Amino acid sequence: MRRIAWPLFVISSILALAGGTAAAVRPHYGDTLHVALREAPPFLDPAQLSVAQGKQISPLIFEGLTQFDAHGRLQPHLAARWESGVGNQRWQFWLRPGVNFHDGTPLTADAVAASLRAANPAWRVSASGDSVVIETTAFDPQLPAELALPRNGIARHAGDKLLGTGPFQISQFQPGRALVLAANEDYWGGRPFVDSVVALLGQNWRQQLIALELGKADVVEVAPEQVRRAGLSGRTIVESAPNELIALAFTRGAESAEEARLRQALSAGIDRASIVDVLLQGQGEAAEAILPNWMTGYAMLFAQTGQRSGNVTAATAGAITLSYDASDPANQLIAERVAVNARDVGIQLQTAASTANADVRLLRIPLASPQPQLALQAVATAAGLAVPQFQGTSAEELYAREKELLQSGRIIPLAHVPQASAIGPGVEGWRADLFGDYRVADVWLSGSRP
Amino acid sequence: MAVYNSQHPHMFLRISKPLMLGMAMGLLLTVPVALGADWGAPARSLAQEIAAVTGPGAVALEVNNRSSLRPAEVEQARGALAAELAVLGVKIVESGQAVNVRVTFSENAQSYLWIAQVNQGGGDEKVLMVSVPGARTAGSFGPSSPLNIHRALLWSQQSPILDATVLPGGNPEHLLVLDGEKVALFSGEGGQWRPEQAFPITHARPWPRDLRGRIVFNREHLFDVYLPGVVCGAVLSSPLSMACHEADDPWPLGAGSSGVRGFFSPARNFFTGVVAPGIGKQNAFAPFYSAAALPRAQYVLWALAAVDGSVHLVDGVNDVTPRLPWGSEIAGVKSNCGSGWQILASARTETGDSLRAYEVMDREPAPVGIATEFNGPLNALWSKDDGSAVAVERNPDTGKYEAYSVAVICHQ
Repeated sequence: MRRIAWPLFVISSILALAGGTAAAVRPHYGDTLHVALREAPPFLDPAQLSVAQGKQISPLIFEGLTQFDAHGRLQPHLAARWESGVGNQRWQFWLRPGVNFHDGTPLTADAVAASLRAANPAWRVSASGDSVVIETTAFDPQLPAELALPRNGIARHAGDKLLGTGPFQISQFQPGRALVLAANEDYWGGRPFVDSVVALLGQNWRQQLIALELGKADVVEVAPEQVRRAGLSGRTIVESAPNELIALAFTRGAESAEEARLRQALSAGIDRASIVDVLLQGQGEAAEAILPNWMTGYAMLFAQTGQRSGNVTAATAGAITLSYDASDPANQLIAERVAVNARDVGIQLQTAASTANADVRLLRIPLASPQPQLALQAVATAAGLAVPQFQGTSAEELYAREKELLQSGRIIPLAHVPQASAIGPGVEGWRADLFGDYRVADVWLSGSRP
Repeated sequence: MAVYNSQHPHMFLRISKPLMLGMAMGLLLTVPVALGADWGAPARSLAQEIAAVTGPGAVALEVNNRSSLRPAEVEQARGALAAELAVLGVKIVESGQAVNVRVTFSENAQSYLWIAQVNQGGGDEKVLMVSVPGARTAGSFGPSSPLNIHRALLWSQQSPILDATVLPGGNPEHLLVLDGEKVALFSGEGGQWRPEQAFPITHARPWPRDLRGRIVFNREHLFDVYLPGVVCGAVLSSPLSMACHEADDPWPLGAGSSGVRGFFSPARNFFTGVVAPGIGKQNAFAPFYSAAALPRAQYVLWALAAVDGSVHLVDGVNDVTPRLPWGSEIAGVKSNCGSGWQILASARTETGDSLRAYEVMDREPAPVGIATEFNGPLNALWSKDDGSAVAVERNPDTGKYEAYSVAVICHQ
């Protein structure tokens, strides 16, 4: 088993490379890479994506003005440089020269402005020479990072075609089922090594592993609890840093001090270590913070300040209904474990699959961005909480906003889990990426011929 | 106000013509890459924040390390913090005092994070944080053996290095480093290379992925640069400049600017297989990634690392394809060992790539000496005029590209 993972403590110093990236044998051009994904987008237009959608597919076609690199550092992409005015409400981005859309037409400031306006109706976006000016109604120090989100990928409609500037262009799309991409021969960053990418969409964990086993897919996603088994089968497993939060989210705020105390007791009573070690087979880390420590550096403060509330009386604790998404078997196991732990501290908690009348929901929330402020906002949105606003990018402000969310009593973090992929034989140059992004343009197949 | 500007160095130096003269092999300098840590500024910031909460007086200080700082660094950082607190009138005493300060050295993906939890009793805890930019470096050199492959670090940088070469002669010595955007010129001074000038590379078409390129010393005008579909040459003006033009001119395959040249695919990462002038009677071979020349008394034997993974040994008449565990990168190097010329060939290891020297007797390459291992993948290997080669590694620990001068040295 070859396993490439992000160490949890020394994140910033290590870039592990899978499959012997560019090692000894230079990359070959040609062939088709087959990938399988759970994601099943009914559309490809980035402007229609939510904050957390389109992570793997969209950036291959549509590129942002900025991009996070494999270390999670924000880098210029379609923008060569930028600056902001006082207050971070007016930003100006100068475009990289020599970039064309897939049909060969040049990327212009007008096209970029139109694309960003479609995705962000609240922004005032205008073209100014070879630059784009973005004005927001409130302080937005995270704007450069926001522009790296897939939903802010630059797209242009040309008749019934959707064009981007990315390393691949759309060849065929069957909504929710399959996507075929062809290499962009004139890509400004260098033509991808593979000629095409075939993505099978909407494949569950099991279907994906079977596809890998049968040689129908070269790259598949692996459920956290399956990583160990998949690795034992001799496959190369590539893991990101933990980029998904498993949490309980209450549908409403606590209406009394007793109810608040009950929630504290529930949080204190959950055996997170068992959830990670047993149910998730050691994949991930127990979490009492919303954001993982690799992202903030301060997650331990929430664990240190956790207070055990002891048992609550049965009279205090009315029955709570916990709902979970039954499409993933692990969710049911986690929900049942939470119910057992709740009973241990005197709380009646019943589980139900995907019920609308739940008091609390078990959520698996993608962290959306390596930028912690954006990730926290995405979690708040997904959990139905008030979305925190930031004046800057300081660690202290981030800590204060995260603490407020936790103190609202509406979210109980359980675990942070990494994203894992299994890589088939012959796939070379697959990079371990801090945030688990698929950088397919750098991948090549060892059986290829020029 | 937040600003991001891409780096575009444009520096100028007047190069005297005598610098071009002479073919004496230069000593290769090693640039020290270790960075000294300076904890003064963050210690001052955190101390000021702590003192603003506690005021002057006694505090009990507890320090935890949850970062990749080494114990000695933790001690240094703790000492710096204690010193700064003392300056502000905060005296550190044994625990049990009213004010407890717990400092945690942590880190995230972007930086170190120093956290102070100030507890003044009464359950009211104040949390203070200071972000500290962090950097780590690493380096290693291979072991000794009867036939050593000796390598010396020439230069490292964040962007991919395609080739590097130390210009022969000249005092001080000069180093040229080629990447996809520029040729950078450095001069040797006090054991370090100091940047002196940068020559931007102009190109109309996007570079192919896995960009390759090489710098070749030129007696007439100092140096030429070969890139896919582009050729550049130094222009002896004052200051020195460089001119580039779109061209599919063949690249020199051996060490110098003369001899056999190969046509390089302008949109890929390999030589097409067509060479000029031919090797003996042959001028077309299978596409190859790299070539190594082994001069013999009557002819030159060439090794070609083909794109399909095979190795061809050609002398103008014969084309032999021995089964060899070679990677894509090979280069001929001159030494005082064995037949005087060896081939350096890359190979994959568990953790990175290695280079091993091979002697070729009767068209049967045989390994000599032990392999030298690199931490990461080798991205380039080019023969140089002085008989050495330059190898470029991507260091997985730092993410930087490192150019090494590589030479085969006999057992002393």
